[in-house]
Amino acid sequence: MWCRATMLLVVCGLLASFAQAQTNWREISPDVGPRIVKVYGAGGGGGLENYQTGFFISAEGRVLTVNSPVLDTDEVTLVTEEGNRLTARVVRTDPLLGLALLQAELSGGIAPHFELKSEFSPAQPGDDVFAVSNLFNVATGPEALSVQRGVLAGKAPLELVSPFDPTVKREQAVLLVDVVTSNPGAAGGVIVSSRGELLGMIGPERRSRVTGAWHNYALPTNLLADAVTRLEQPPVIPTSEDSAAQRPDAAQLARRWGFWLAPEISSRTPAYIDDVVPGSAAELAGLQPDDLVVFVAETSTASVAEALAVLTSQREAEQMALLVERNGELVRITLNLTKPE
Amino acid sequence: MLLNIRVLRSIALLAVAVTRLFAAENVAREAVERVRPVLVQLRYVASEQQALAKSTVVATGVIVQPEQGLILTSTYGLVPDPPLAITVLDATGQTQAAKLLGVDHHRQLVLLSCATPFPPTAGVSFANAREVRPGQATIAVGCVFELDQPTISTGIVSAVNRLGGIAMQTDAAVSPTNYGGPLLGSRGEVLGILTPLSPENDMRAAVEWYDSGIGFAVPAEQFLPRISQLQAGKNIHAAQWPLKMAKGSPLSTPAVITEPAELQGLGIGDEIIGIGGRRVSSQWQLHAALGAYDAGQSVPIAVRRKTGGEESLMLELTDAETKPATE
Repeated sequence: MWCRATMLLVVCGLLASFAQAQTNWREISPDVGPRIVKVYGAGGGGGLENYQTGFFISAEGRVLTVNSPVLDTDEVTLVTEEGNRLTARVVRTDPLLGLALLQAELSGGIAPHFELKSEFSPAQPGDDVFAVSNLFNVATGPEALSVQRGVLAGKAPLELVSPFDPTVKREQAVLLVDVVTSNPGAAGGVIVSSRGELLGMIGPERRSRVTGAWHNYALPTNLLADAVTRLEQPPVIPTSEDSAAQRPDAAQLARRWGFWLAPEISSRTPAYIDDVVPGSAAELAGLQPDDLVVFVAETSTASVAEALAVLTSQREAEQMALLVERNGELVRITLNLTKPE
Repeated sequence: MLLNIRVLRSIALLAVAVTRLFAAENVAREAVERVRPVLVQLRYVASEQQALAKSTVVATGVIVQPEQGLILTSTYGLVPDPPLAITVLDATGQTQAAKLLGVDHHRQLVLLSCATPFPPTAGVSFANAREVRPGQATIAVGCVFELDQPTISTGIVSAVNRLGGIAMQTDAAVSPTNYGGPLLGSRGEVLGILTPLSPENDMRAAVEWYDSGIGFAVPAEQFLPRISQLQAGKNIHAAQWPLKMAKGSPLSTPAVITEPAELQGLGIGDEIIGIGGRRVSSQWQLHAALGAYDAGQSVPIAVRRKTGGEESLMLELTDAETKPATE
């Protein structure tokens, strides 16, 4: 009796896991496909596409897509995979993530939609994923969107810079995929797991700050959920203090820490120490002219501009750790403003 | 009874299938775990004059000799202008400076050295290139974003013995994200080091290929024997054919020498019919066979003399930058 029960349990378990692992696009597409729409709007001339991708995030017809010139029109047209055409308008846009929230005019009925989970994706590098989008506008009429298969490549910090205000920056963890998603029209599409769970939205085309290569990435659902919550609230006017980050000038640095950085000839001038003030914290710590500052307080600094940015963020610090390159060796320097007893 | 046996058999088969499927899901992650101790994250602090439009380049490297602090990476970010400084972050969390020892321009690889040795890196094995077959699974690994969270791209071996035999080709996504990192087999064995190779040996062409499904990795057989040469500071260049040959379609024209009058025992009218033990009947075959050699290497040549009769001799190969050895 025990034996039979155990056997039954094992078989059930095996079947369940088998079904899970075996799931492929053919099985999940009837569920995933109807939640995604092709978005048509302005553009179409001068090398600008007039199409992109989006997906429903509520039964009432809220649609998430990327903010782009495609939306520079009063109304956009959404086309479902069955070929239904819906009119939609922009509710609000998010400059930081580059998102737009649309409202589709549903003629009765409810929209099949993805729930935006507020946790970071539990998917791991190496997991199978599907990218679903209208890349290159291959899918035009009543037909399914294009699906690409790949693996989750990893998670990476991506510096998101506001297209409207370059001083507004924020670094966010995004999902990298090893399938090419940086294609015209793909932005606003989805990355789903092999079980059809939404992992993220294919973001606007961006080059990586680290590699200079085009990123194949998705904005994870937690960022999307945050953004949607923000967008559904009335707008907040930012105060001027938020953006008034003040960079110390060379003289301030010399007064506080006792060193002069090389004059900033271009935005990429390497962070060489130009001079050290006698008797200063810098001199006591052993900093020398011609030292190349490669890290300030655990942050890599490749230029005078980057070094100044970090020093700004540590304005109130009494101690400052520098890693400098001197004659092929890395030397740790700790500047200390607290006077010894 | 018979039915029961059938049921049991199908359960057994099902169990095997499930195990395999589950194993398949984690193959990439397990493979990457095995090489994690040999991965390093490299940062190059560039001078203002450098061509790349960024002041810091981050790249992946692989520890090849821990006790001597030797790291192999690709030329990406290091050639043509070496950076002002190179820092190395290893799996133990230690950051130190590295020195550029030598550049293999032929295979787009660079040897770096660190003063402090790395901990012994057990468990990493290099695959035998002769056993690598087109179609087998590959995993390309890089760590430019987070050293402890390497990025993964999967694919297959598209071809072996590419570019004159110096590299294998894969359709895993190979880009600045993983140049200098390892290409792994499904068991975590290192098939090769990912480099921005291209038939034109042009960095720009290679960088533009990164999303085209074409990537190259140099196998251990190609880089291990050259480490001592690079360690001694001797850069490696691809061999150039030092002699001019008869005009015509390279596919059908035999390798008959037209210039110079005399070089290392070869002269006008002599026909090259073999190189490195391979028979060649056209100039194209000659160049294909030459692709495996470096400048400075001597290669056995089979020649049919203008005066009749066949001979074998050794020819010292040069590169475009060096003068023929006889001068």
